[in-house]
Amino acid sequence: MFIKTTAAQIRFLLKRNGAIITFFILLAMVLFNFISNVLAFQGKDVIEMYHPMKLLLLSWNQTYLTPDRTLFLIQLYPLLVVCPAGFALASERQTGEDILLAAKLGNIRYRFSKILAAFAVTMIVFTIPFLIEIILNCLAFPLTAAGDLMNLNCYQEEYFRMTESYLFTGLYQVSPYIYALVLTLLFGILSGILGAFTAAVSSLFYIKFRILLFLPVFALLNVTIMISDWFHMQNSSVSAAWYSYFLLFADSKTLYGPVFALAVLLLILLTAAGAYIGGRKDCVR
Amino acid sequence: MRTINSRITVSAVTGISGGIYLAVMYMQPTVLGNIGLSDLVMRLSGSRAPGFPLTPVISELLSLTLVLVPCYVFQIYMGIEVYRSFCTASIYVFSRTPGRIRWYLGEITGLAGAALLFQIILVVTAAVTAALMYPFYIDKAGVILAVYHIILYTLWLFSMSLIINLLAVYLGSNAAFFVVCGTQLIFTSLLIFINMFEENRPFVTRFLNLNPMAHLVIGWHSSVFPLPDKTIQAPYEGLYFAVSFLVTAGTALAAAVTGAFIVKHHDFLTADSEGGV
Repeated sequence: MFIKTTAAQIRFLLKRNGAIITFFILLAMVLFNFISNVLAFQGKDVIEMYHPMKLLLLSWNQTYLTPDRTLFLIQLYPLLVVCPAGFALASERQTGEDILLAAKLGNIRYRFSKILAAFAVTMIVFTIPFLIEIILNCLAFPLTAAGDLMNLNCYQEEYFRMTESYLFTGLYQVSPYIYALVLTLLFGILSGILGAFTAAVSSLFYIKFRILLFLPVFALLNVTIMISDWFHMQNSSVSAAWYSYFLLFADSKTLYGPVFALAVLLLILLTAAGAYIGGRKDCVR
Repeated sequence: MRTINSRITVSAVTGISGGIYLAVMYMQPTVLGNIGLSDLVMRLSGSRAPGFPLTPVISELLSLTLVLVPCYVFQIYMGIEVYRSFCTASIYVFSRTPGRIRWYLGEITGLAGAALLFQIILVVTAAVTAALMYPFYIDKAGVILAVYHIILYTLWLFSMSLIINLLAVYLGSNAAFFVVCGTQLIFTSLLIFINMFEENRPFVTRFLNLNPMAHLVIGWHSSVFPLPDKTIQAPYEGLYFAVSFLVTAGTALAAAVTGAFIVKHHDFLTADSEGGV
């Protein structure tokens, strides 16, 4: 029953305007990036060509050549990630549908299924366009190209230091293609968690105006950048900014993978707690 | 009365917390160990230090967005102030208020007042916090720039908050905020083209005047008056305070007039757009 309901909710949420519009916005950004790269690099010799995975929209390495596109994504991401499914619970609460579904499933089960659906829908919307771009780049650009957009020689020590600072650097050294695929899926999962977190906040608090649901993720992501800036002010090379962990080939500063994993785990626990506590409340207002 | 109190509370709380946050994160003393009001005001719109205005590169444009976070939070709260009257209680509200335009003018006056109060509290709190942290002095140019900053940002905040309210009537509050805030973030990101085409001076001048977010960067402005002009030392030519005042005031006026038209003609006897159907 729980799985059936969650699947039905996923199908329902995928057909909603929020998910469709967000998907097409991301697809448009991805296609714009791809077409711009094709036009910029057509005719280039394979020896001079950059690695196809470093030309992805999610690639931080691309900011060394064309920072504008990645900047768009970083700026819009805190707003976009909430749109596919973050408002799902709040909408149903306002129309009264939550009472109907809670009566059928049980309040806690309903909320968990809704939050799981929000996670799945956000993950799908934030993974598929970027997977499409990986496929397109593999088709359009030579797979043997190995250039870096910092124009570093792959035998230079600076290049080694840079690649060693990547998250999951071991995976990158095995194959940059597998690295890109895995981190794109991870990006989708992290986006799903943020979407689910927003839904959990709406489970915990009655929010009449959905505009306020932008606040939790907007504040959370910007706080990570503020913390990173604070570390920078203390002359530390540690990066806490969310895009250093979410994007591929992020090399700018010292990254702490275990701390990041703990932070994600905490967010998951908070989401689950929000769903459980919200589910214990009465439906009648 | 409740509405006035809630607006004052929101303005005060966001202004004080925003001012403290901006002072702690962005106010650094100069090499002389002190900080002036003119420096503080320029840092409130992205400058890094006296003589180091905002450079349109990726890291600093992200910092500019962070500097504007208190303003975005204000827009989230004030973006529903007029709109809330259009929701489920709209029939109650407007059956008791047949003079809609008069009601609307009262509402937008309150909104403008809240924006002004927020900016004054933000600047004063940032100055007081900076004064508590470092030796602080008030220079004449700083007073002029502070007034310019408050006027520009009040007009901008009023325009954006009002546009969110008006769009929310048709799209719902979340979609309205996404459109308005998203547009502001896109224009902020577009500022990176200034760096990419820096050698093409005519393009840069035209671009600065056409990009609404460029009008908020005090450190890029030139002035016809020598004192603020000498203090700012703008890296780019052609962006004047007078033009910025015109742009922001024009946007505010256009939003206000459009809103009057919507309020007068919009039929409220439909489903509550916050229902999400």
